[in-house]
Amino acid sequence: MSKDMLTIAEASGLIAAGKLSPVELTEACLARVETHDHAIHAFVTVTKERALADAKRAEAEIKASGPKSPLHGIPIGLKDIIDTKGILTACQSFHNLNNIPGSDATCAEALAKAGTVLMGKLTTHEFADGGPSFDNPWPPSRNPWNTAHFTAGSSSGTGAAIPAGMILGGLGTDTGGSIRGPAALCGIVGIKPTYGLVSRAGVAPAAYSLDHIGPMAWTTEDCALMLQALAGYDPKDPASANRPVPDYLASLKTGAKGLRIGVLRRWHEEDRKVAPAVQAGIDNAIKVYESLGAEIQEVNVSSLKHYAAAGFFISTAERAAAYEAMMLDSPEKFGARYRDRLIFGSFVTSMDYVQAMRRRRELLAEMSGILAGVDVVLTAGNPDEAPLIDKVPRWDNLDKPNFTMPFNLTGMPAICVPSGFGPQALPVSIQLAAKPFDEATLFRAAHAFEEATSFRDVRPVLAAVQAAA
Amino acid sequence: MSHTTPTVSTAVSKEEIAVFIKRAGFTLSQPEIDAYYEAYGYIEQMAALIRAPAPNRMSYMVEPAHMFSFPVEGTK
Repeated sequence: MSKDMLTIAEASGLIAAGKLSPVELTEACLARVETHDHAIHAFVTVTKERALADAKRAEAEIKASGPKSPLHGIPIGLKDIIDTKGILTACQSFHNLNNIPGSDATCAEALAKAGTVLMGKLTTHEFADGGPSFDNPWPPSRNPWNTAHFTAGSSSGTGAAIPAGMILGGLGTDTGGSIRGPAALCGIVGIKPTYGLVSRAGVAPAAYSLDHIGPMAWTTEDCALMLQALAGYDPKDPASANRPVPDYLASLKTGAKGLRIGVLRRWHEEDRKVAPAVQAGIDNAIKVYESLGAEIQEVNVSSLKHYAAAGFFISTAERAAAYEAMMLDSPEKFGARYRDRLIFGSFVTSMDYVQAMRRRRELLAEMSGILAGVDVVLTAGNPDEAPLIDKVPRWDNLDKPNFTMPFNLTGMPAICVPSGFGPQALPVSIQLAAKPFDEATLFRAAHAFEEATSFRDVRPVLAAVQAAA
Repeated sequence: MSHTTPTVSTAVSKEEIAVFIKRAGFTLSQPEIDAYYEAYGYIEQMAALIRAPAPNRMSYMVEPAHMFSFPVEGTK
């Protein structure tokens, strides 16, 4: 296998054994960016000098005293709403083209401390919402499995760069599905951790009470390795949870035997009927889990529409408040799709916001009740394969509920894992969710599924990407 | 940008939509207001859903969820 197609766990093992040089690994990833990013647009800023300096330092440190973490010498990227000291953090907006932060976001600092190699800043929807947009400072990311198709967003660059082998892991943010959507459509793994587990300090807000930071990578194990470095209390984030961080690797490879899995069938079979390939992926996952000794149960909650409605009013009000001054001062600097989202703030009353927050409390109680009886719940990650990038409807956040917002609303951890391919040869995904702070069980369930299937053996063919560009 | 999503009916008039937008401080052209008018019906439908009848609607158990109250490890 080529160096740039290794997983974090594989590369980490080779680096620790002295069989892989972080510098060579970084150079291979940089070469891949240079060859293919003109068609994929995963990066807004490539920090080549920083990456090579990080890699050389890592190599020297590892030679001197061994790796300080499994991420030491691993090339990663950061979504461009995450502050990076001395590096442009533009949030894909004309409003922020001169924004050079004076310090790293807590999550960026945590990955740097673990010894990662910063490859650059990754494409996002403007301020993490509203895309795909063609009127922002940079073009939107394109799906490496077929560049005519969308990546989903808003962590679109992270979603595209990982399957393309440009980075081994990266950070996304998730307010209504912005980690899990790109993970689902780009055929990688992405976890939205429990609200408060990963500090948001130094990250541009999208909607305060729904915002989460989390890792995206080729495998569940890689996400677990990254989350281990990211999780922990941070007094700079008022929502940060002050509690011990468990060892996410301890139970990762213990299999699915005895796990209780609740299938939220009504969401993907009634409320928003998914495409046959997505349904087949879910049905196969149920069979796989049964064969592994898990216990499958049917569970039922309110319609997906109720979760979507509460999420819409909360996210719209919080976003409009956060960006009110910029919108009133210079609305023309926003792209049309993000401006739509801010204009919607005009239509949300104070009563709407409070009622949505009260409804949220009810829905949290409902989902907590379900998860009291099972270890994880299973549903779809996305309703279909990736759409064509120029065919995403303007009101796509209004007319159909997505499968990801419910777990932003309840703050519970949720992960998307590839479950197959559709008729257009594009990835589809399942989504698993668990009790608050039970990421370890989520990783265990997702890893067991990965190990029992072969979907991690297939990468996009980037020669085809080049030809299509 | 093409716009193919069908309009959802609403009891609110275009003039009222314009008032909402003006009250928020925005100055939009009539075609822009017309476009948001088409979207407004979806928002009205969702507003009904967050007011769906539920037991104990006046209880503090449904106070606004401004923060989560997850159990702290090691405490009862």
